Amino acid sequence: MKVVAVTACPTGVAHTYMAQEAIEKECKKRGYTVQVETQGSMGIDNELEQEDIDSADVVILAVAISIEGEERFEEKEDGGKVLHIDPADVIKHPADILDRAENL
Amino acid sequence: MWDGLSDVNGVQDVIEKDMILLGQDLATKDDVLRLLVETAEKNGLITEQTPFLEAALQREAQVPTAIGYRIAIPHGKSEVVKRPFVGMLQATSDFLWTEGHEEEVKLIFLIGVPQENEHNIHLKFISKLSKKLLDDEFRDELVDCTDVERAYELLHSIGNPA
Repeated sequence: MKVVAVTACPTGVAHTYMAQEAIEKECKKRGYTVQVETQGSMGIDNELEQEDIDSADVVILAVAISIEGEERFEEKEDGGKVLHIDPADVIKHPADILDRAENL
Repeated sequence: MWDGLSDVNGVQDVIEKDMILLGQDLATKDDVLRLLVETAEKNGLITEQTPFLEAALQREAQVPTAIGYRIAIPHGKSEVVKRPFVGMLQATSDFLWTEGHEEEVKLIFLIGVPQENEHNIHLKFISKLSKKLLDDEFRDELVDCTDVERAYELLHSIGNPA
């Protein structure tokens, strides 16, 4: 399964990157392909191209603030393939979140 | 060998030894934050305590920063912060971080971020540290560490290429 995600948090310095790490670790455990874009205090890192998103099975938006480029995910939203969660949730319960993503 | 934080254009330590407080007999979020903020001011990392403490408390009110694994990562962004820094406080035993939320913590990392985002190297270090906290071995050693030198060493080992 291919997972793409964006993580973003108000101060953009800790949760943003921990959420990225948590998602990547859990996906690796399950053998999924994963790409996580971070929108933090250092700007946007690992930016997701439209084709990365289109070819993904599911999108996880672990964001606590409004993000740049939200339009990229419109099609996936319409298809019910986007999971909106708080970054803290994925840091605490990465397995649950990935289970939910799988079942979208 | 670049260790990720020192001596790159005279970049100072993001976590100084004086900002590592071990074995503190404190059991509330307020006490812990107050001590860390006080220590930050003493070490010239912030120019004033109140605005920074308020910023950190406000952030807590949005979403508590106890993220499981016995750690909390309170942080504040404020113009009184001179440069990005991290202060670590290890309590003598686990305590409830926030009323109404189940997470108990023993290790607290207070992160200070200036208003303008120009200290990228420091911010990079902090993001690396945050990620490293998800490493069970690394974290467990810090949670029970009794030697400041060892804690300092551990915290600075994360900048090294694997």
